[in-house]
Amino acid sequence: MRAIALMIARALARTTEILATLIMIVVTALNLTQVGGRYLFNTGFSWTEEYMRYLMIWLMMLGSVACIFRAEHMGIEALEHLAGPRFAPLVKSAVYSIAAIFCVVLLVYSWPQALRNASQVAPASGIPMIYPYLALPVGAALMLVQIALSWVAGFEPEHDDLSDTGGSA
Amino acid sequence: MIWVALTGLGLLFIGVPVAFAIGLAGLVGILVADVPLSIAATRMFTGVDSFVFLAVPFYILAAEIMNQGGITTRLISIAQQATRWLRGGTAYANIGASVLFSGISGSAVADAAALGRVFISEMPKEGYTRPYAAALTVASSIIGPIIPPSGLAILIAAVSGQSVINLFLGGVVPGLLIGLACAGIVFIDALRKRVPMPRPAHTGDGTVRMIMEGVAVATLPLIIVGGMVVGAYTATEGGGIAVAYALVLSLFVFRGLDMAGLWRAIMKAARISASVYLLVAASSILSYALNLLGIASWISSAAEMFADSPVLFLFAVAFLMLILGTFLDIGAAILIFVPLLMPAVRELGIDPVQASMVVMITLAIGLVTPPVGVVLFVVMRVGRIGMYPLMRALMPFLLAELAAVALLCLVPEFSTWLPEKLNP
Repeated sequence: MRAIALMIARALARTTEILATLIMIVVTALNLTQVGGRYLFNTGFSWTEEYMRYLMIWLMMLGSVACIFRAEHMGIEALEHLAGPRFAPLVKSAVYSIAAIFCVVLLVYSWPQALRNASQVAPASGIPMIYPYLALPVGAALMLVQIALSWVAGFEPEHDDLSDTGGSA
Repeated sequence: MIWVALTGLGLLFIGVPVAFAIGLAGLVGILVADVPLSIAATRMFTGVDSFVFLAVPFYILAAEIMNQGGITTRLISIAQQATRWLRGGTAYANIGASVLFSGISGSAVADAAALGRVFISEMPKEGYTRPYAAALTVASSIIGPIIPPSGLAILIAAVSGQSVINLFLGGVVPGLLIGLACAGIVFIDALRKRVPMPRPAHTGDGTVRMIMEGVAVATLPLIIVGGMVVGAYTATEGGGIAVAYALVLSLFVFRGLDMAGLWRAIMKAARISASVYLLVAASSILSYALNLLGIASWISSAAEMFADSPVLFLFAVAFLMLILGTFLDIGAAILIFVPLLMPAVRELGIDPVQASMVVMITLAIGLVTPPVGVVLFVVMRVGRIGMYPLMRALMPFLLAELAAVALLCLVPEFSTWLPEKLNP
């Protein structure tokens, strides 16, 4: 039971972080194309900006799924330390289960929002708006799965977590 | 309003990750204001669907690439080489390395983790106490998010409608001022012979190469900020150029990066960016909810009390941010409070750049103080040192930094001179 849960949890985290990494590469390439395009060919590609913005929303939701398993969402960990090494993963699962309420609300309300926007298209690139909007319900659902699995499978931080650049700070 | 605060703080303290705690507090606020919850999904999307925010992941990626490419060790040896002849030389080198490092990372946590690992084991070998080495690393790390490129400056620009360039330029002098404040304490300790001389220098070979490498690293912030000042590219495009520059430097100049390392760096940057974006998205739900509940009028009536004394208002803001910064995540604090403060700042005739610097630095000081000092915890872990001895050694540095904050509140030119000069 635990082995299967761990396998699925690992596969889910791995898949989402690889997708997020690929998106990161594409977005960086698009960004450089935008600058290069303006100077080399004298044409601003207006569509690149929209692609980048919408891809980042997918990156946010997919990467956040992997961040749960890797225990990388920033938070105060005092309670976990108090609980000791044996119960720490359970405490973590418990606080993430409170976090799951947010994912549920997001899932419930972002799905109809995506459908409402199904007929709209982005002004410059012509992307149907349902694609960027779909990131929210898909990501929220996957986060719920990852949180549920963590009760059995636990968490798996990356080893060298001290090189953590801690995001915006 | 009270329910929102209670939910947010309660969840935060039991350990719910910041992004989710803030998002849930925002949902409570929307419920209290009796507005349909479906607005939350929209706010979340529009909150991060921004070209300015898009800059953040690129700077994170550039820093990760430089880190994997072994640039940190080089920065440290450059700084050490420059201060070999001074009493307390290695202590100055610690501060200098923070200044150099801030030109690539813009993150205090990255700075403290990377430099702490080296300095906290090296400095005691020369005769510094361990807490002193750790405290200096902690104190100088907050230069990271102030000197450009700075992730925090981008966040402030995005939520307050200021130009990223002005905030980047505005951070140069205050960042150096914080460095000087720390160096001042080291200088006093050197006069009292409480810090040792550095060990004799290695032989001179490789010095030329080292200087060349130092110049190559220091060029990065110049390219980014310079390009933005002359209008060659936006902050976001500058981020892309920073990534390209970091790649070239790590792959071809330092040759410390292989394909596996590069993949690791990108993956790490992708995950960090995802968690930062989620935080931004959740914060935009909360700030929307706070506005529904009428916080704006509350703030502006509070600002009216300071109508004849803008400086006093700045001091009040600094005090408030120092307290908020001790337990709130710095990115979240900026996203929630800067949009609320800025109208009052403009009304009182304070330069927004000056106010932004005061907010940024006071919040960053919160990173190095308990109960929720991320930098403090990282250094405690890296340096295997307890909180009490670390805090005691940190005290003089903190006081010096608070004095620098007071100067920034009193003298607007520290923050506004460079932007006005270069980007009028």
